[in-house]
Amino acid sequence: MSYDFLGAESQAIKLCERRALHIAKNLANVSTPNYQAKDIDFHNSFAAALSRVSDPVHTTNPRHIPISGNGAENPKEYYRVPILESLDGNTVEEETERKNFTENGMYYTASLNFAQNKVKLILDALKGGG
Amino acid sequence: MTSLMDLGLEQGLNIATSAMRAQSVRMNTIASNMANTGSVGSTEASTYRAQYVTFQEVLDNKENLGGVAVTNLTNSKTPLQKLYDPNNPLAGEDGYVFATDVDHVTSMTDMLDSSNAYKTNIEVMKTIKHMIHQALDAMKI
Repeated sequence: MSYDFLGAESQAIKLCERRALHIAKNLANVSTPNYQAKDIDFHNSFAAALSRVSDPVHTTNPRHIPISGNGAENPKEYYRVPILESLDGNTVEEETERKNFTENGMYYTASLNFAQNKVKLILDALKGGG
Repeated sequence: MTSLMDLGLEQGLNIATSAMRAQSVRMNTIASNMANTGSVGSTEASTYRAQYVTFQEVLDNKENLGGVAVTNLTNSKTPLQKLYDPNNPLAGEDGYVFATDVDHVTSMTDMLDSSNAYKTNIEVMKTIKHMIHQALDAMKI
């Protein structure tokens, strides 16, 4: 496994992209009867992904079972519990989803900036600070 | 395991578009209902009935993109009200016409809800577009 110098940032970016799709789908189904809003737990998935970046588990034998789930490749999904039940069984709360979508966009911008700065730093080092 | 995870961010644009398409179908039926408020007919069968659309979630997998779709267009089944209006050219022998069951208030609230959902999805689209642009810009060092 090659050394992934953008470990944390790339995991965060991946997670943000997945989460954006989940929330986009929730907002698309805002008037679908019986639709159950789904989301991923960013903080737990990110922590799990990070622990795998810093201490990756390798399979050294073809009979080993690879670890799946909870990383950025396969974050755990959960159903959102609505504050108020709606009559048609839809659990999308527009305000919550909008807030999450904005928040997710901010995390995405931040992660991209961190990644970009890291690359700049490495380029600077390669050029000898010149 | 099939999920949203095999897809890129641009998939979000398709999800938002599917919702906008579904909401515009809904808006069309609402417009049709509103245009027919107060219309009458000579028989129960020939009188305009309020129409409703049904939405259903589209599950995401490798073939399908996910989002929302209109699955059904149903006519309302409530019995129509009979009105005594012998001067109406549509009135039968007994002087009665059938009034449509379009409800003003339901149509108005439906319209507001639909337009609100449409706006939300436009914003989703804008945000996702912005995110993609950011990712593209980050590649410029």
